[in-house]
This record gives sequence, C-alpha cells and structure tokens, in this order.
Amino acid sequence: MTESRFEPDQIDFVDYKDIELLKRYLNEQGKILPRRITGVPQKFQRKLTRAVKRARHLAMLPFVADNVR
Amino acid sequence: MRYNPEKIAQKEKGNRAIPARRKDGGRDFISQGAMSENTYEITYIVNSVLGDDQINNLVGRVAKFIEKEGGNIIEVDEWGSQRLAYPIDKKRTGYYVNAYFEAGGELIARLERALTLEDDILRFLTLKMDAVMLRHYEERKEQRAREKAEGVKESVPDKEEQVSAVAEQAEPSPAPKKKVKPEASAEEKKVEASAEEAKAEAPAEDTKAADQA
Repeated sequence: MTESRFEPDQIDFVDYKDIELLKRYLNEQGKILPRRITGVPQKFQRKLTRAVKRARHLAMLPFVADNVR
Repeated sequence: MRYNPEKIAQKEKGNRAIPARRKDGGRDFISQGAMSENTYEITYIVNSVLGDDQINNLVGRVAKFIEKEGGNIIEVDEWGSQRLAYPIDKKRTGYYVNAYFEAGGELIARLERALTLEDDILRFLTLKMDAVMLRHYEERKEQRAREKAEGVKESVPDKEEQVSAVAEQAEPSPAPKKKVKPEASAEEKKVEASAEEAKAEAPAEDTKAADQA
C-alpha cells in the first residue's frame, strides 16, 4: 500500500487553485487516481475529487490530457 | 481498526494546530455587516485576446456590478494570462481573475446571469465560503504575506507606485500580481515521492481495469 498519510492530516480544505497538489493525484491522462492507489482517507479523496473537478471547469486542469487527444 | 491510543493521541495533537471553529466562522477580518451576508469567492476567465485596457475595463465593471448590487469586495487578485488546459471557444489562453467579496445570496444569481451574458468572460466559478474555506483563505494570505516579507525585500513599491512607474516608462502593461506558490515542506516532498511511486503503479492497474471492462 502506498502511504501518503501526511497530507490529509494537514489539509482540511483542498483548494482548486493548488494545481501542483492536485496534479499529484492524477495519472498522465488527467484521470483522478483511485483511492486504492493514492491510499488517502476517503474524506480526503472526496475533497480532492471536488477540487479537481472545479479546477477542470476553470481549465486549470485538463479533462483529457493533450497527449491522449 | 484496532484501538491504538498512540495514534489517537497523535490525531488530537494534529487537530490542535487548527484554530478551533468559532461561532462566527472566523470572520473577524471582514467588516461587520448584516448577518445575512455571506462571503464568496469567484474566479473567472476573461478572453485574453482583448487589449489590456479592455480587460481592465471588464474587471472593473464586474467589481462595480458587485458593489452596486450591495456587495462588498474584499480582494481582487488578477492572475494574468495563463494557458488553458483545453481550448474554450477556440481560445487557448485566458486572463484569470480571482476575487473575494461579501454579499447576500440574492446577488449571486444576478451576478452569474450578468457574467453569462458577457461574451468576453469564458468561464466563471462562484463558491460560497464556509468556515473551513475562510480559514484556508486567511492562512494562504498570511503565508503569502510572510513570503513577500522574507523573499522580495528589494525594491517592491506598492501597487499604485508600480502602475505609475510603468506608465511613465510606457511599458506595455503593469505586470499582473502573481500568486506565490507555498513552499513545499519536507513532508510534502515525502508525499510527492510516494505519489510518484503510485503513479508508476498506475498504468499497469489501468490496463487491467480496461481489460476487465
């Protein structure tokens, strides 16, 4: 199992503006990594998902990565 | 999960770092207005094909609209032109503006309608800020202030001076305020490393999933 146990403890709001953080939880295609791979708590994964979707709406993250299109 | 007193103690310790939630939602940095007022965050993308004065005009117009309709602007932060992650209306770049304001809930519908009608606003996202977000906003602001104080001590006049200086030199446009990324702490880096590991695993997992589907 991967252990990214630090982050969720420190962050209680995942900001859609913090794309550097969000990018760590995406694969090359721009898909959100499942929890079984990220290993983060469910709560954090939900916050992450919401933030990623907001960032996508504002074209700060791709829906589909350029190299796939 | 098994009962682990150590872990629980650690968790509690971690929680203590976060300021306790207050009844007023930590709103002391906002002027005390009517109780029905909420704080909102809005980010919108302006067509960057426009000239600088047109963009400034539009940004000013949005701010004026909020003020006129009874809102109270806290901060306007222009991120400047950025590349879009995907084209919107066949445009590959956009001028991002991020603003915070207080207003009653009725304003939002009117504001969003006005923004939709505006052809040069490509996208917008309005969020109502709850206590957690307000706290996050304050922390971010503090961090930015701290970094500014530490890092850029050399001649950084305040914004107005900068603008006039630029005008004198007849340079193209005042450089948009850039948001400073918070410095990655050691712990964050550690996480990054593990995230990369996860990434390495990812493709294999993906193909497996695809096969099953």
